[in-house]
Amino acid sequence: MDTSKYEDLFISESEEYIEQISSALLDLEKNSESTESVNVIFRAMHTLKGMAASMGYIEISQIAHGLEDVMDMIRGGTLQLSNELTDLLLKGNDYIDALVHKKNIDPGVIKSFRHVLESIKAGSKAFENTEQSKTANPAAPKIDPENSFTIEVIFSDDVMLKSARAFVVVKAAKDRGVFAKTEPDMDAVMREEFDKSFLLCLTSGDSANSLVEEIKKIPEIKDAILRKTEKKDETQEEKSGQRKDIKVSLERLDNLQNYASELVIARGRLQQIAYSTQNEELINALNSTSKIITNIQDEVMKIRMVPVWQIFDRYPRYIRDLSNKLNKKIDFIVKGRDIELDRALLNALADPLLHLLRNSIDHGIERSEERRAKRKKETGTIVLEAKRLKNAIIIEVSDDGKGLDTERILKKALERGLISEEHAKNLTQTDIFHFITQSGFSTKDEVSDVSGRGVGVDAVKSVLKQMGGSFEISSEKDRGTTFTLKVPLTLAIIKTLQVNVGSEVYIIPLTHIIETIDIKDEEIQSIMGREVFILRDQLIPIIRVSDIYKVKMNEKKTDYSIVLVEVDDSQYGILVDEFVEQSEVVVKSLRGMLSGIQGLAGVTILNNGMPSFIVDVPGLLQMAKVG
Amino acid sequence: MAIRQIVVFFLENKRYGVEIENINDIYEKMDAVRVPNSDDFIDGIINLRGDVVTLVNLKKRLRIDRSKQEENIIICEMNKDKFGLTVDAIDGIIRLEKNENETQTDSGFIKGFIEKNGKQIIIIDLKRILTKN
Repeated sequence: MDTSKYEDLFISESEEYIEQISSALLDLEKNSESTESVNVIFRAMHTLKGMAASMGYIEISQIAHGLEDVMDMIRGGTLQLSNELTDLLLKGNDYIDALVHKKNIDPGVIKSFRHVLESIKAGSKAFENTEQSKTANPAAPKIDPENSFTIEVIFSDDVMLKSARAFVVVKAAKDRGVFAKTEPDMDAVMREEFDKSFLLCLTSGDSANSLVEEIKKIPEIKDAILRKTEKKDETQEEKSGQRKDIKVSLERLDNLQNYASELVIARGRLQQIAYSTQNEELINALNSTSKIITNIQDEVMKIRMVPVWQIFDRYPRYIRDLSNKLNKKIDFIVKGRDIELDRALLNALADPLLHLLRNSIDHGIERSEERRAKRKKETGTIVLEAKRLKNAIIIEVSDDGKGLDTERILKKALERGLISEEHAKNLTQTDIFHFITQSGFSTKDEVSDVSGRGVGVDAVKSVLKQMGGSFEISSEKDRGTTFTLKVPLTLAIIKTLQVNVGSEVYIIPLTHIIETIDIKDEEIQSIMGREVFILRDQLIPIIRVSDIYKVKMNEKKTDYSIVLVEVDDSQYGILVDEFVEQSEVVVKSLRGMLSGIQGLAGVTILNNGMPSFIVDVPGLLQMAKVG
Repeated sequence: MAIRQIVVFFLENKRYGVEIENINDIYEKMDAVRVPNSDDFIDGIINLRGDVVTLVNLKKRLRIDRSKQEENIIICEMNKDKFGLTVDAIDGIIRLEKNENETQTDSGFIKGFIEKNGKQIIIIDLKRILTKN
């Protein structure tokens, strides 16, 4: 068989299983009772083994087989999962991963690994107590993954004794020794918490047909339908670790997205023509087309949305390894793993998040002794959380470690000549935290191989800037540090406000905007050389876009517009000449010679065909402070 | 023998050239959007069939005093990014045998000199010109 064309499919499917296995193993380490995790691993290994064998990858198949056997023993209760065993299983998973990606591994390594697996099997067999292994875990009956069956039991419409009849059904299955569980669960079935039918899951299909016949004979039961369970079962809905979708290459998806985006731009242009020529017929035709385009765009966007766990689930393993290496005890908690984000965005966030987590482990969380001395819980906690806001997603990395050392940061900033002595006195804590987002800034004295190389936090910031998002730091001594990443929902198309400044047009992402206000020239006051205005008894600093972008301004105006934004918990008024409209724009990143220009987040093409820059709001404020 | 083709253009009455491989197109000058706080030699950005193209003013980049208006834009591609070089006028395309008559040099943005039919042409180093300092 020519397998080359299946290769990509094999790799991408294998990747899924490998990730499933790795995350289930870590779950299992935390909660050794989790039969669900065991089943997930077992199934995934089994599938991998089969896939690899059919593709002719004997080595992968052999390793998977060995690991499957070990998992089988854990499942049967003849083998206890230990830290070392988890390491071993993870390592096996790594080997498979490497082999799938055709990395060269010394065959000797694989051979000795398989030897270890064999010896585990042999060693465990010696102690095996067959009687015990059968009854070791009665709560979790074995389900043969290839051979599991369910029967849908349907009651007649006038059923009187639902629970009693259900009980008989279950008993019939138990008598045959094939009962696994019901759906909804037994308790719910007994409380009659189902409508006209429930599912009876069997451990094997051996006597399924005769069971069906018997159930059908029970009074008040209309029908019993036997189904072979698809490979997904109860663990699937919760974890969505196994998917049954068609695969589309990312490239095609990107193309589709690009075409959809261009369609949006083209629509804008058409609309402009239609309205300027006041052609009723054209306007009507365009309106209906416009709806379709919006739908297409929404659908394409939805296709691109993926849950954050696809990235988040990579981290537990890493954190486990790194904290072991650094000898720190860390509890890693992930929240909001089902929140969805544009795939490209999520991919772009993978490394920055990893860096922040690494930072928290290395710099944030103290060693146990130190924590004890501070009367803190010996085990540190790192929380990775995704939350949904109206037009943005918030991702937070927080730890309960020692917090950022403001004095040390300040000292470093002075040493590097980033600020002057006198300037340093007036800095707020937020200002000080901003130093660590500057490139090459690190307070760690020696360079470790973990972090402290002074690359990273600045890279995180620049990635977010490119996305039109923002990056904030809050920290309290000995209480911990929180990094907050604010990310637009999608990368490609963002909601924005278009503004005029002089003869130029700029685009401000709605992510940062709180409200818009019209203001008269006389309302602008000057306090200590800084322009401010009063909004609901609060002094709000004014930032003139024309100053920062050095826009040529012709005449002095009497009416201005203010875009009120919030960054780092403070509000600022961005002063522009006037608002044009709210619109969705397609973001193009600044590349080549335009990359790294301060205060600009990206560029887009307006309906009239002219390019226009997207304002990097946090960057703009930063420039205003310095200037 | 391999043939090289050079696009020749004028900057303040002097002939300059760039290899044709990197050139996509040539346009009349058009309105560009200013790039705030950018390097002074960046003339702005334009929309070229949906692509955002950065215009690099070649005279400013090469620090040549400007008295003439730039009338043409040479669109070139470097590392998948499109750039537009604004130049005074286009002279034409010349064909050369490989390394014919070329004096190599390595001074900043200049790659070498060529003499063809009595015309002196300065060959510029596109890669250096389009790389941020």
